[in-house]
Amino acid sequence: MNWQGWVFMLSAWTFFTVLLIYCFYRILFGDSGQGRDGT
Amino acid sequence: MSMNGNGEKREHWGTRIGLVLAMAGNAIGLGNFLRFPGQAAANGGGAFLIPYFICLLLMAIPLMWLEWTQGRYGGVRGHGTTPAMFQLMWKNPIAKYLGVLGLFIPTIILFYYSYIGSWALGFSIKTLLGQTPHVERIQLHEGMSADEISQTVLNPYNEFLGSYTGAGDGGMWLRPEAFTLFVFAIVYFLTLWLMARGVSGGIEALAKVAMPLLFILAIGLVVRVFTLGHPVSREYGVMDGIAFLWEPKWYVERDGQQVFVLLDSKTWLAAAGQVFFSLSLGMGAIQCYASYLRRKDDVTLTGLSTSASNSFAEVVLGASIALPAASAFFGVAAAQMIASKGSFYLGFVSMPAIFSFLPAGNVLGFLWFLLLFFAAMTSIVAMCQPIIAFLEDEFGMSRTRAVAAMGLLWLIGVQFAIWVNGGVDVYDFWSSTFGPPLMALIEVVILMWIFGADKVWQEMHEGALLRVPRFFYYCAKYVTPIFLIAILGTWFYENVIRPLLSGELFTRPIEAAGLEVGWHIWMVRGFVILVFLLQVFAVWYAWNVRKSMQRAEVLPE
Repeated sequence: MNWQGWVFMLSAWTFFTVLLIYCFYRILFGDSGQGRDGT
Repeated sequence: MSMNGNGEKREHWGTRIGLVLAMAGNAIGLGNFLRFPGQAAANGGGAFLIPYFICLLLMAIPLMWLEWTQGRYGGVRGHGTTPAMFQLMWKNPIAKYLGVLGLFIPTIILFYYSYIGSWALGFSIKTLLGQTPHVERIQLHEGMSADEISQTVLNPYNEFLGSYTGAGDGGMWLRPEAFTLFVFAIVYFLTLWLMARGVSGGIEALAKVAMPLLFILAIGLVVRVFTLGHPVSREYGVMDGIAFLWEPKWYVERDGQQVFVLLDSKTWLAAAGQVFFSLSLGMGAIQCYASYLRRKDDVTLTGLSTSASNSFAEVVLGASIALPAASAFFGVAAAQMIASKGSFYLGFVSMPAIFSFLPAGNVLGFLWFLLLFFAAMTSIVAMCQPIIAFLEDEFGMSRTRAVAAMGLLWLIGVQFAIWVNGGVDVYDFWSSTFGPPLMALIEVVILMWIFGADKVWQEMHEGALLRVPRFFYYCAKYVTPIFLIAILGTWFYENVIRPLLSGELFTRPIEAAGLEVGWHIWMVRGFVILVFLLQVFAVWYAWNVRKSMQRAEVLPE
């Protein structure tokens, strides 16, 4: 794969993986009044 | 405290993680694993990610937040479906009839998607039991053309799929195997059982089991595909498939001409379509799920989590399984041919062939179809819920009766998908291609222009765990509707104006190329119209007859 392919693939993978981890981290361990167990 | 139509307290989600998983389950479906890789390959590879990302940012994520906000707004006022939500936000009597689309679209999707989802379960059972065809490894060798691979290696699997669905003989009617119907019956009753258990006890419980398993299975299969190496020839291997999918192709061929991919309307439409349908936007299903939130529950972070899960599932996982595996075994040219034949060919023909060449192929094939089944099942329940919520909230039915009524309608509707050749195409076109952009445009106009953008923004930030940048306010108000008008305008030009100018408007099939439009197709179209009219009547009855009867009981003369 050429360098452009690597750039596109790794950028997309990194962006969506980091976004997913950030969202789930905030949901599971976020300091909200709603708490971890109740919506 | 919000009540439903029979005066009972409305249900709520049990946990926020359960809600996020259920919403992600609604969005993640067969399209993430089967449709995305084909779309990317056909529209510039890595370059496709640019329009994909822009559509996600400017259209899909703002729409996702709007739908969550609208859903919670309706839910706390005792309504889980769009006819009532539209009516709450726009006092014009026509609003509730526009909201019928939020019932119609999931109903029609349920009719065919549930049947296709049952194929995944059927194939997983058949693969595990070793009842799929077996082509000798020796028949696949270096230097074979895409046509030869199609004829010798893939044809038995294509015939197997034809026999399973009953499409093998052609003609107007399909003759599926008894096993196919039996497996559908399992999916049907399993879904009814889950729906009868309720939002938290059924849908949420399913999502908490199925979604983690789906991600584990998908990651496991990605690892297996990435370690395939060069299984057939030193000339091509799995990295060629990855390169085929990710190397940006800045020029694509359109009608015999090379066109710069970022200036090509078809590429932008494909990206918008993929983002749109894969996130289940403009269907009324997100609003329905969000209606089971409490007044101060967050919608911004949880809405973003749904988008993130869905895009991760297709960009990272979906793109790394079926097409790279096909390239590793058959070469890039054949993989391109497979992708061009559509999602079913990629998932149900090419993948079983690949697994048959691998050690423990039966188990891997079983896991692949189980993954597809989980993806489908979590979306099937999402399509059931709006109909049930409508009957509970607007007709005051008990959950059991609402599930039974929905089940009866589903059982009638699915017959056209099972027995009519082209029935799935008709259902798919009207519910998934035409309906959602129209519904989304109506939603955005009602929310941002009629109800009021500032009120929506304030409502969205009630209990929000994430402050949405002001940029998205302007996006939702101006850019998203322009995007949607462009999608609908292009659709109208391609499907109505152009055929009208070339005199083909009434002779060529609208729903799918190659569809033979006989009376059987008109019968399905007629049924689709009937379902729409039935739902319009139900809304009229709920508002004009039932509610006036209730008022008469409450306010004696």
